[in-house]
Amino acid sequence: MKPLPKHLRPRYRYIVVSIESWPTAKFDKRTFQHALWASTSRLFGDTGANAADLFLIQFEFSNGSGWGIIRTRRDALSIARPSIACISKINEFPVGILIRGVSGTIKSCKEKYLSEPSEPLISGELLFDTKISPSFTRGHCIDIQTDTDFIGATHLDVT
Amino acid sequence: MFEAVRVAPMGTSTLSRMAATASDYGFSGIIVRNLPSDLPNSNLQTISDTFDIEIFSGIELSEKNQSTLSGHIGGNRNKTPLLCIRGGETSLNLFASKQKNLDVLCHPLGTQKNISHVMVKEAKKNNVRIEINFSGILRESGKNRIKYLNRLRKQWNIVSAFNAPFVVSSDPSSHLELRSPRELIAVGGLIGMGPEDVEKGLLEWGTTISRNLDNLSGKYADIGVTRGKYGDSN
Repeated sequence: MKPLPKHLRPRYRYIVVSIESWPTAKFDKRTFQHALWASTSRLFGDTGANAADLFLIQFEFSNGSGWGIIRTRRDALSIARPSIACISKINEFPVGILIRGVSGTIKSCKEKYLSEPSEPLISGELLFDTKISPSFTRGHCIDIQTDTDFIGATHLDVT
Repeated sequence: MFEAVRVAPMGTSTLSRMAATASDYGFSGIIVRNLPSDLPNSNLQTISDTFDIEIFSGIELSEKNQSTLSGHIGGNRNKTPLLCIRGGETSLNLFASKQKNLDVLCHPLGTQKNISHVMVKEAKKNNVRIEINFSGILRESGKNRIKYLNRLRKQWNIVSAFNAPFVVSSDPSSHLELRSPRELIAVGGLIGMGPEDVEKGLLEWGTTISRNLDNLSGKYADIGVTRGKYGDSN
C-alpha cells in the first residue's frame, strides 16, 4: 500500500517519563498503558482520551524505578500532561512520575533524555532512626522498609 | 519555584529525600510545613548544599480553637519564616484571614462547598495568602475529584476576582506525591488558571519567605523604619 502523503499523516510528539515507586512495586507495560488510558479518560472523557491517543511505545521498570516513552498527538499535549501527572497509584503502589521532556522523534528522545544509564539497586540493612532496618539503595536514594510501609531517605539520613 | 512539603515524621519521606527529588524535578526551593510538634531535626544547610536547593523550615498550625491559635501565632511568628494555618471551616478561615501576622491560609476549602468572598477580601486587606491546593486533583478520583475540581474552580474564580494573594501547592507528604512545576501548570489549566497564575502561586512561597527573613533579620525598628544612621542606605 502506498504511504499517505506527508501532509495527511498524523503528527506525533514523544513524551519521556521517569517513573519511581517503592522497591516492592511490580507492574508491567500493559498495566502502565492501562493506567494512562484510565487517567486520561477519567479526566477528559473518552473523546479526550481519543484526542490525546496516549500510546506507550517503550517501557522499562524494575525494582521501583523505570522510564517510558509515550506517544501522543502533536496538538494534544495539553491533555497528555495533566493526565500523566494525575497518575498517583498503579496496582495500589504509589508512583512518582516526572515528564523528562517532549520530542519529535523517538531517536532524539533517547539521545536527549535517556542517555544516562540507571543505577543498580543494592539491598541491605542500615541504621535509620535508632533502628536497623532493611534498606534498598539506588545512588544517593535509600528506601527504608518499616513495619508497615517504606520511608524515602538518602545517604544523609542513615549510618 | 517553591513547593511546600510535609516530611517525616508527618510524611513518608525524609527532608533530604524530598529535597533530592524536588531538586531533580526543577524546584529552586522547598519549604517544610510540619506541625510544631513534628518538625524534622535535620541539618538544613548540609542538605541544601548536597542537593543544590534552598530549604526553609515553616510551621503549620492546625488547632481549631481560635484563642489557642492566637497565642500560637504570636509565639511562633518570630521563630519561623513561614507561618500557616490549616483552615477548612468558615469561622476559622475568617479568623485566619484577619491575622496580620499570618502568611498562608492552607486548605481553606476543607469540606465546604465554597469559600466566602468576605474572607477573601479580608485576606487581601491583611496580606494573608490563600492556598490553591491541587492535592485533590492529583490524588483523588471519581466523584470526589469531580466535586473537588468544582470547588477549586469556584475558589479560583473568587480569589482572582478580588485579586487576592494566593499560593499554589500540590501538598506532597512523600517524594512520590511531588509533581514538577510544568505538570502543576498543566493541572492548573483544568480549573481555569493560566500558566502565569500557577507560576505566580509557586513563586509566591519564595517571595513570602524572603520578605519574612528580611523582617526577622532585625534590620527594621518598625514598619518602614530601618535601623542605622540617617542617610545610610546600607
